[in-house]
Amino acid sequence: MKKHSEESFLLRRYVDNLYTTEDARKLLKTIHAPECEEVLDGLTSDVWEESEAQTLLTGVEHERYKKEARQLLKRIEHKKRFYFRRIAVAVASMAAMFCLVWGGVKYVDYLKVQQVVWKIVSTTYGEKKNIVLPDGTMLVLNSCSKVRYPIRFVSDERKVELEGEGYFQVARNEEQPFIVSTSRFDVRVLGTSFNIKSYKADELVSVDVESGKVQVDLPEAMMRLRAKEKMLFNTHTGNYNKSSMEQKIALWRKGILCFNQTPIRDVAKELERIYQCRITFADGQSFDNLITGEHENPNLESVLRSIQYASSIYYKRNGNSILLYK
Amino acid sequence: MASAAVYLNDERSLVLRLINGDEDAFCELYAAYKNRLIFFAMRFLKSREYAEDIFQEAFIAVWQSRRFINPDSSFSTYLYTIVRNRVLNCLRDWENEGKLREYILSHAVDYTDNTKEEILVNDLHRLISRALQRLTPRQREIFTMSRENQMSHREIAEALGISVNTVQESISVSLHTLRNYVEKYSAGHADLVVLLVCIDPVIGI
Repeated sequence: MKKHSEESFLLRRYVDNLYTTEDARKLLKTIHAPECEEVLDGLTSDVWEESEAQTLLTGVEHERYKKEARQLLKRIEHKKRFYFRRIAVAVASMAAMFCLVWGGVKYVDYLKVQQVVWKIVSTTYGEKKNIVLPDGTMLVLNSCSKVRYPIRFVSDERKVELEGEGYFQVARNEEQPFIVSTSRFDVRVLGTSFNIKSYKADELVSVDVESGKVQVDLPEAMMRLRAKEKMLFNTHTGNYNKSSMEQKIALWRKGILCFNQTPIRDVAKELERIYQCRITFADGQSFDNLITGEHENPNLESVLRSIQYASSIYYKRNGNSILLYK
Repeated sequence: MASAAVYLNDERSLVLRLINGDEDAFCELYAAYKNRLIFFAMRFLKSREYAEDIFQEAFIAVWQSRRFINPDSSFSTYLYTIVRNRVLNCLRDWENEGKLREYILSHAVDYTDNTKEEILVNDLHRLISRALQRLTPRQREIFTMSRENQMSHREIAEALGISVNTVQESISVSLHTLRNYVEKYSAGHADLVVLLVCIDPVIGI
């Protein structure tokens, strides 16, 4: 005799359709109890064995069931297709939503960039200006120079445009590199102080680093400069070189004129910018002299005189017009 | 035995084709197992409709997970497991609803449409033992071995030296006789009850 005989008899009677409503109630309550499991297992496998006698089919049944199976398959596959279509539609609409939102965000960004108001500060002959940029960067602009910057730095870079000469003390922000863009090169920094000289009229342009590190992006080269290093770029020959320098940088801020192997024509341009004069070179003569020298609190006459002394280049002054000749 | 082996061999090749997505093989297996699985589910659920549903769901599962079927283990055991679990889940759901489904009620021997004269379990036992006297001695012997001694059909067949099919038939005839007797004497409306049982219970008069 099996252990749970009472449950097992009850179950058997239930399966045999020999049960009362009360039996059925009792059975349904106990059928899922753990102690009934064994009995239930035994009975279901008995019934399964007994059901084997039902396997035989009439030919008519066989055909009917196969047809039924075909329809079932069609339903499954249709459901699956429908399901995939629904997924596809859902994915497509998600993608569309995403695009819309993303596009919206980008558009807002674009508007922000568009809405950025640029400010231009420029200096005239002999003039210098101190400027504080929106991020706290200090800028001293030399004569005849121009800087263009946004009133707010919104993008992931702080980009300003410089024409002429300027001395920068950049507020440190590693997240948002500071970039000075000139017509000849870009200077990329995180937070340093440096001087850029990039006048369109000059043969030599330069970057002098006072502290920190800067990266100079030339059209065909990239150069890293550290403190006390100077990059010189000859716009006529395309040559550039790096050198270390001893003297303080951006002495022009204190009104000191400083030439160091500077071509005479660049010196003339410099003097024009400071003294608002017009310097011309005598026809038929070549002027490839390089000028070196420092002038503290100079006036135009004394600079011209010292050039005459050092390089045998004479000058003739008529008001604001100066002619240099040999 | 030989035919069974041939069938099993046949079934294995059908299952292999099914695994590869052969729709014809699916239909053959569906047809081959329908009567058996419906019979099995009906014994517990008492509802042809539910039994059909469970059978179809089982075959949907078979089709959808055909790639995971192991062709070397018994396909019929695999089907049995699926259907058995679904049947038991169904019974549990019904139990959770807290009231007996009409299919189960309508198969109870004491069910009538207008009176709920519940008969006591003792009465039923008495009725059944009285009904047993209506069976032939051979039928009674087989039925007692099966239901009282809880022997499997195979065990009975071996003990009596007859085929399993004979055991099967004898028991189903006995059950029919018993059922008729019990219904006739359990309620006052025997004719009506018999009628009810004959009609598909789902109609629910």
